[in-house]
Amino acid sequence: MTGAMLKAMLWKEWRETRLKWLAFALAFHIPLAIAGLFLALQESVRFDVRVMTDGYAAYVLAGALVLQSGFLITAGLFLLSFFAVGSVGAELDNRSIFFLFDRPVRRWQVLLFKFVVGAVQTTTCVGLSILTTVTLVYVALAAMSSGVTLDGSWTGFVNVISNAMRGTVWTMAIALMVYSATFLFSVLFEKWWIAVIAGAVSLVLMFYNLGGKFFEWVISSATSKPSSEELNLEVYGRLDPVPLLVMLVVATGFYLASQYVFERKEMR
Amino acid sequence: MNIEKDFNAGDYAIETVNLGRKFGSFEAVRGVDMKVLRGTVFGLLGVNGAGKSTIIKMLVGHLRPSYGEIRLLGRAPEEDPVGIRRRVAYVSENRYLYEWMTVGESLKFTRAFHENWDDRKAADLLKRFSLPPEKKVKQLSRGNRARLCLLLALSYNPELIILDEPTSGLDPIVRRDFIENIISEISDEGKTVLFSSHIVEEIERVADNVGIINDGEILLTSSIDEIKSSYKRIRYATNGTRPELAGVPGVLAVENGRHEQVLTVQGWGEETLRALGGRGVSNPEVLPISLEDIFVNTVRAERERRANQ
Repeated sequence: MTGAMLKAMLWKEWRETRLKWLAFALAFHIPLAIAGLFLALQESVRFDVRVMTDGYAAYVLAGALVLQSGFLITAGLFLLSFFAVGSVGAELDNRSIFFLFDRPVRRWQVLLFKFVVGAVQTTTCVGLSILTTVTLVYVALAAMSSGVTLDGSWTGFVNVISNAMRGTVWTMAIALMVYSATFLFSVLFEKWWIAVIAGAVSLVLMFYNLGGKFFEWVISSATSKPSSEELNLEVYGRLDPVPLLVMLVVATGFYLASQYVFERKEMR
Repeated sequence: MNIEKDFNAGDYAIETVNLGRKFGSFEAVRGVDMKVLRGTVFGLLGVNGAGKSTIIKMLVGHLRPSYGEIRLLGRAPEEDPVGIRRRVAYVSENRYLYEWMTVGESLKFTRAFHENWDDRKAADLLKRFSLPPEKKVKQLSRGNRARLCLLLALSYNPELIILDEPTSGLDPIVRRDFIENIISEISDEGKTVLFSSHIVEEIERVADNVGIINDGEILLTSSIDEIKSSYKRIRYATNGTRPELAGVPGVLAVENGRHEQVLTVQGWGEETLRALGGRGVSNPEVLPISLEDIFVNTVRAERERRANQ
C-alpha cells in the first residue's frame, strides 16, 4: 500500500466516521454531563466549605472515576460494538467494500487499516473520556469549594490523576478487546445489525458469565486484592503488565481471526 | 467450434480451464473452457441466471472456483492479485461506488490507487460523459452512475476490462449511448474487453467473439462472423407431408408453418442439403440467421437435450 493510498483511505475513513465518533465521544461523557447538571442545579448538594476535606475530595474524585469506567465497560460497550461493526460491517453490508476489493491493494491490508483506524478511534475516545472525567470533576470540586486548593490537596490530586492514568490504560485495553471481538463479528456476518446483536450478546456473556472469572482476575491484578473482596476506590491502584498483555493477546487473536475470515470471504 | 486456432498461451487475456463453481448441491458453473484473445472484445451471452456473473466474479476474485483454473493476462490471479488488479478493470452491474462522495471525490479517491492514472483522459471522459464533478454519487441517475463506473475503469488504462451486465437497468437511449462509449474507447486502444449481457443486440454491436452460456455451461464460442456463416435457416415447402428429420446433421430447431418448414441448422453445408434431398425435400432455400435466433435456438436445443436425457 503506497502513501497515496493510505492518505486516500484515511480521508475516506475520516469522512465516513467523523460524526459517528463525535457522537460516540459525547455519549461517553453522558454520566459526566448528568453529574455536572446535578451538581449545578441541585441546592441540596451545596456544602459548607469547612466540611470539604482533601480526603473527601479524593473520595468524590475516585468515585467519579469508578462510575465513569463502570459506565464505559457496561453501557459503553454496546455503543462500542455498534461502532466497531460500522468500521467494516457496514461496508460489507452495503457492498461498497467491492470498490476497495477491485483496487490494487491486498485484502489483509484493507482490513488491517480499518482495524487500526477503528481501534485508535475507540481507545482514544474511551481513554479521553476517563481523563476528562477526573480532570473536570477535580476542577468542579476545586471551584465549588474554596477550601480545597491545588496546593492544599496536591498529594490527593496526584494520587487521583495517577489512578486516572492507570484507569485509562485498563479501560482502553478492555475497550480494545471488546472492539476486536465485535470487529470479528462484523466480518463474520454481512448484515451489520446481526453483527451488532451478536456482538452485544457475546459481550454480555463475556462480562457477566463466561468471561467473569477472567475479568475478576484482571481487576484483582489491578487492585492487588483477592477477587473475593469488595471493590474499593483503589480499583486502578496498579498497572500489572500480565493481564494487560493477556488482553492485548486476546485482542490480537480476535483481529487475526477476522483476517482469516476476511481473506476467505466470498462476495456473492 | 472454438476460437483457439494457432495461438500461444500468452496471446490470451483470459483463459479458463474446466472452471466450475458449486453452491451447495447447485452447480452454477460447469467445466467452462473459455479463451479470450488479447485485443479483442468477447461477449458472454446468456439469459439471466445462466452463470455469467458467477464466471466473472471468479475471474475478478470475488468468488473462488470449486474446481478448474483461471489465467488472466498470462498469470494465475492468486499468484499476483495486486499486479492483476493494476492491469484489469471490473465494472459490475451493481455499480459499487461510495454514495456520499461527489463525482470529483470519487475520481480523486480512485486515482490514489492507480499509478497509471491518466488525468487528461479522466478529464476528457468527464467532459464527454457530461458528469458534473460537484454532484454527489447518490444524486446521479442510473445512466450517469454507469458512466462514472466506466470512467473510473478506463482512466487508469487497464489492459483488460471486464464488464458484467454494464447496461442493466438502463433505458434504451442511455444503453445505446453507453455501448457507443465503450466501442469508441476500446476500438482506439486495442484493449481486451469481456462484456456480459443477456441482450443479443449489444453483444452483436460490441463483440468480435461470443460465448453462449446456458445453465453454467458454455455451449458455443466463436467469432460472430464464423457463427453466422456456420448457422443457417433452411426453408422449404412441405406440400402437406413433413420429412422425417432424424439423421439430418446439425438440426437445432424446427419451425412448422402451414405449408412450409424452417430449420435452424448448425454447421450447415452440402451434407445437410444432401440429407434433406434424400428425404424428399426439394428446392430448399438457405437463409441468413440473426445472432438472436442462433442464441435462442442453441439454448432451446440444449434444454431439450437435457430434458430428454
